[in-house]
Amino acid sequence: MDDTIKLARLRRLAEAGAVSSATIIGRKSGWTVSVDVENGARLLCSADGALRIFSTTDSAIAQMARLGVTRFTVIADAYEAGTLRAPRPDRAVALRETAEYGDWLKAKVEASMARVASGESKLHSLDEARSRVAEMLASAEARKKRSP
Amino acid sequence: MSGKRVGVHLSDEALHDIESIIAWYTSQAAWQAAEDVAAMILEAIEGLAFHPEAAPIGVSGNRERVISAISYRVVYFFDALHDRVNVNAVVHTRRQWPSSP
Repeated sequence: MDDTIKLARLRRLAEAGAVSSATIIGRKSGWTVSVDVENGARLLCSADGALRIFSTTDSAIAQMARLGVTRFTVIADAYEAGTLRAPRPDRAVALRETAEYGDWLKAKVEASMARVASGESKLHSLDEARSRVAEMLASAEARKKRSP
Repeated sequence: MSGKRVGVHLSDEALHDIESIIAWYTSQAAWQAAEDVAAMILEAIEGLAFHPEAAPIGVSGNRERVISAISYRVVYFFDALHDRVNVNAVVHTRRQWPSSP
């Protein structure tokens, strides 16, 4: 296991001019950063000590650029494309619901059109629809008057 | 299409949808809402006679006129050859409702 270094310490070393270069290393679904400091290479880790994994080389470069490190070597031998984080469950649910809704609506409309095409479903004029709606509302109004 | 009016018809299913929507509001004793929603749906359908191509084609494969104020969509097919609109469904914009008869 390589030695690691936290961002806060790396920042102090960078400010002191003790960081010479960095290597961006590909892995499954992301990239790690190894920095060359005075006493050897260190892998950048999070404040909690976990290995810091960037989803793109751009984000790794941006992080290092903020520390003033702008020269890199990239090793992509072990890089495998993939999603670093699981999709947000609420978003995944929303997408599934949207897809289900689309399928439902498509089937409903196709069934309606098929019944019209076969003559099974009658077509109503707008005036006829207005009359039916007016009847329904009148009936509802009557119920409303009867209700306590 | 401006100034031209095309024929508008509703399928049994579309009329059933509208009736189901009104029935739901009245079942909740939301009498005014029933009237308002019905009026807005019918007004939107009437508007299709003048602007049948204004609504985009949606996932249903038909054109979909969304009435955002009440979250319903009118799903219709515009037959440009015969200048005719057939409304095939009136549904909630997010929920799978009303269901088919």
